This record gives sequence, structure tokens and C-alpha cells, in this order.
Amino acid sequence: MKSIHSVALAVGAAVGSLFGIGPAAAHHSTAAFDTTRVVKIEGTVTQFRWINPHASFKVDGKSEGDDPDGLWTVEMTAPNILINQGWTRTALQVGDHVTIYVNPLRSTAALNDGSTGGLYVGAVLKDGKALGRTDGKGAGSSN
Amino acid sequence: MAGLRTLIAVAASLAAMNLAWGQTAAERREKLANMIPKHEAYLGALAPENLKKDRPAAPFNLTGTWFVDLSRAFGDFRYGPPYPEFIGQAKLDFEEGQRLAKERKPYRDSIGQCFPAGIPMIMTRVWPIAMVQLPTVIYMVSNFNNAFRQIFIDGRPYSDENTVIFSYNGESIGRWEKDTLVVDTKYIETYNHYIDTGIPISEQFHMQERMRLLENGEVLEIEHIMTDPVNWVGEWRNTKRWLRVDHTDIGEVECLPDLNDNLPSTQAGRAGLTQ
Repeated sequence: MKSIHSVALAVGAAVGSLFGIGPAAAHHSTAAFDTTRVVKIEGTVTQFRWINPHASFKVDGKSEGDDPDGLWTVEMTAPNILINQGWTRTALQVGDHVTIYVNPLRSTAALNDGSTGGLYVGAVLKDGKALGRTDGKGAGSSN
Repeated sequence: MAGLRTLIAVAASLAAMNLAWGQTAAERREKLANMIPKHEAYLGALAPENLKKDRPAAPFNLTGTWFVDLSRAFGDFRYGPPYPEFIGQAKLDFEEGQRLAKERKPYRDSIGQCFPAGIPMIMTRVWPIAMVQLPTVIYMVSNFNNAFRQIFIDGRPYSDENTVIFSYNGESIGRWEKDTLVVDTKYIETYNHYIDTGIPISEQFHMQERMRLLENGEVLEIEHIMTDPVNWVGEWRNTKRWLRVDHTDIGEVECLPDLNDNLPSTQAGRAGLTQ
């Protein structure tokens, strides 16, 4: 039991700290994101990829404040971790109207497909279910 | 002219088919046998005759699923600080990596561009590692991109340095020293293969791992001793731990060609890479 407990602690500490620090260990660095800022976007889901090592989705919508409207590409952590946060393979469907919260890229340059990039912090799904942080604060993780 | 070319192509195809049809099964078998690398001097790790050879019992068995212990600090996935004294280009690269990290800018994000993490970094990805130990070999498969390592413990020599194919996890050979498995790894691919934040390695990079099982087999401890006379002075030492995780299995993970199209951060991560 002791070992299971220590594993749980280790996993918890690791996952918990993912939200507090920037450099990622899994697939790449998240240094490109401004984790001190959260952008709220309301829009329609145009893509959702539920695959390791990273899930991702695209939303076409309007952002609050001075950040760009239009298509956003949102990077998420691994489904392995998202499952433990309440995410499922069918949580997002193309056409769903959702509200999302992201840390924007530091660079304002558009991505290859012309979209704006962000790191997932939280989301309010079509059915009103909130996942992650939806209070306009927090730092996402790409681990 | 086009007609003549077509005629020649058809004739060549027919000739090739005729040649293939003309081969006996034995000839084809011989040809196919030359398509796999062979070492005639010793048996493969999974050859039954090798597996059942008389050997002293292994002091421990690593078979299980393991997860790096980052409970002290998440940054422990890195192998420093402390760092050795870097020299030459490595010193400049290290300083550049440190400078950009302070500015929160990516540097040499080769893993994000789907280059293999390679040793030692593959061992501390925040993903479980499945290990299977047999009398002749230990197989390790990281859940991260299913990166594969094998440590031969059947007493074989290293591959011929003239024909060996360098790889990101290198060629590892282990031997037992009392209760410690000592693993030496060399022949490590250097192309866009970095440690921590962009620290390069040369073909002289060598890593020794001293592995012990602690706490009734629940904790794996590895002391790493890394040398690379091209890039740093003396030994770079670091000790890490992994915890046994029994309620999980590793799954399939690939870095697909279009993965990064959907990941904003990786489009910024090419800085400093060898193009």
C-alpha cells in the first residue's frame, strides 16, 4: 500500500506542478505560451483530435478583449492526463458551441493554417459542463 | 518515341518477373536471409538456446511498469544542475539555452519536432516505461512515442564499430556487479539529440547506468555517469528514481506527420536545431 500511496503522491505532485511551471517534459517546451494571461473565446468547434501524445481542437469564434477573432488552434496535454480531469473522447463534437480559456502564444504570428494559437486552460462544453479552470486565471499544461 | 519507351518498360518488367519466377524457393530464402542483420558469432537474445543457457540467477528482475519519480521537483526530469564544466561549442550552446530559458523562449525543441528523445532524456519523459527482463536481455518501451531500448545481458560483445548503426538510445550492454546492474551505452546518434536545454553530445558520448532495486522492488534507482570529452570535462553524474506502477499499461503513441500542425508551441520550437 505504501508504494501505491507514494506513486499516487508522485503522480499528483508531478501533474499538479504541471500547472505551475512552464517547461514541458513530454513532447516539447511550452515556453512559447504566455501563461500569465488567459483569453476567453466563444465559438464553434471545427476539429477535435483525441490522440496521444497531445489532444488538440480548433474553435472558430470571438475572443474577449484585444486578441484576434476567428480560428484558434488549441493545444492540450495528453489524453492520458485529460481523462483524469473529466475529458472524454466525445466531449467535443464538430459544430458544438463552447466557451474556452487559453494561454495565448507570446508571438502574435498566425500559425501555418492562419489560426491563432493557444494552450488549453479550461472549457465550458455545449451542455454547460465546465472542465479545467474557467475563472479566467491559470496556466495550462502541455505535458 | 513514347511508344518505344513503353515497350522497353514492359519488356524490362516481364524480364524481371521471369527472373523472379525463375528462382527456386531455396534461392529466394537465401536472398531473404540477407535482408536481416546477422551476428554469426553469437545467438540472438531470444534464441531458445541462448535463453536456456546456464547462468547465475539475476540479483533482481526489472519486469514491470515504471514511472519517473518527480515528487521532489518537477524539474528533476532534467539531468542538471549541477552541470559539468562545458567546453567548446557545448559551452556556448549551454549558455544560449540558459539565456533563452530566462526569456521563456524555446531552444532546440527537437523532441517537439518529433526527433527521438534518446538517452538519457527518454528515461525521464513524464510517461510510464514498460520493462521486460529475460535472462539474456532487458527490453524497455517508453510510453512516449513507444521509444525502444534493449540492454543485452547475455555477455555478448559490442557491435563492430565499422558496421554498427548509431541510434538515439545507443547500444547498451549490462553486467552484474553484486546487487547492481551496470549498463554501458555507446554508439549514440548525435543528430538533433540533446540533453536538457540544448546541450549537444558527440560520438564520444558514453553513459554508464548503475541500476539498483530498492524498497522490496518498488523503487528503481539509477545513477548516471555521463562522459563526453568533446563537450564537457570529466563525469556528469546524476541519480534518479522510478516507482513501480502496477495499475497501468503503456499504450500506442506516435508522432504523426501532422501532429504539429495542431500544436501551436511546436511551430515556435525549431530555434537552434540542425536543419
